[in-house]
Amino acid sequence: MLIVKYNIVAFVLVIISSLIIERTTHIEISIGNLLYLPMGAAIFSYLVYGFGVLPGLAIANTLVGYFLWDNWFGIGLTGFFGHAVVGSLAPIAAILTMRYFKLSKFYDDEDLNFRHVIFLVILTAMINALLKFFIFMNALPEFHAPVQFILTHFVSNTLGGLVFIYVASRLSNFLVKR
Amino acid sequence: MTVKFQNYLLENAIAFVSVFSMAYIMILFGSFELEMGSYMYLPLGAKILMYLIFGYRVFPGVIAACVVSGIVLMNSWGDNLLIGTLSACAGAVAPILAMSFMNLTHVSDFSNLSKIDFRHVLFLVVFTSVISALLKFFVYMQDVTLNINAVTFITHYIRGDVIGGLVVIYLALGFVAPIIERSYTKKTAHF
Repeated sequence: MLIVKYNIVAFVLVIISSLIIERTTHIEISIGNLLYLPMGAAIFSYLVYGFGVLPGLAIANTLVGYFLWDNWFGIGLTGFFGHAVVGSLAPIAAILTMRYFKLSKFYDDEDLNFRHVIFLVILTAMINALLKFFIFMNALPEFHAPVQFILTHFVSNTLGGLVFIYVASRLSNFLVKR
Repeated sequence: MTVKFQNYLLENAIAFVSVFSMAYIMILFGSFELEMGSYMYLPLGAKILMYLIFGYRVFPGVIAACVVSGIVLMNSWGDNLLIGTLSACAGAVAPILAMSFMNLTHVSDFSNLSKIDFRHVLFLVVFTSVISALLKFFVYMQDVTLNINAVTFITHYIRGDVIGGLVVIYLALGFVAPIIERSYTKKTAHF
């Protein structure tokens, strides 16, 4: 029962962060945007609740892409793979990589190690940007700026991830103290 | 000339010889194409090893080896001297970026060689390969005359860097280090 609750929380976090960037910034599939908060929501959910929240995140990403971004700006299945599948699995790949290579356990006692999280966010952004690039490069007919694509997606995922996790951890600390 | 400066020169000379010899072996037994890279880019392993052993102060030796090997062994990167030199700089900087970033975020500490976890070195090779491939891609894309397929370029460069890096690190730690250690213990036993 607890896992369903966690999935609902992760779902809500991704939806809210997607709505925030949809209302405040401009998104384009070839350049992304400069503050992609849903990546932070996904990483935060995995760190706090574990990999069991994958269904909630995948459903949230799919709904956002289909309804909010009008079927991934008209590219359909490729957009689904690039955004929903890769976007949901990239943080898992990064966390597993860091655990396999014994780089971090992410927690010191019960506190989140923010320096390790910074590394995780950047590793996730790198994996996400590269995989998205490989998928979209073969699918999009007019793809003229590969450097811009990789850089903007990398920067937006990194900034969005760091901002979301910082704000969420501060907020949760504040609420716990209250 | 002070002893400190002599050591600095010696370390840089060792770094130069290591990276250049790895590039020479790579060209001798394989090939290097600008658009595809090499199947086993050995110099990356030598660069990482030199930075691990001597620290970032061997950067001049490493970058000089990269530039000289590109000009002498790779025919000035197929007559693309400027872009080739920039890519050589990117290749020399990539391990420093990876190591600095891992040090800064405290996920690993490469300052004490005896305490390094081998898994961290393996990750460093992969991480450096990705950074190096991306930096070189950004550099080569500035030259409009080159016909580069982005996906092929990045995947081939990452694969070549990872294989080359792992081979050199494995050989160095598995064969060269034990031989040096054995000869050193023999000498000390003799005394």
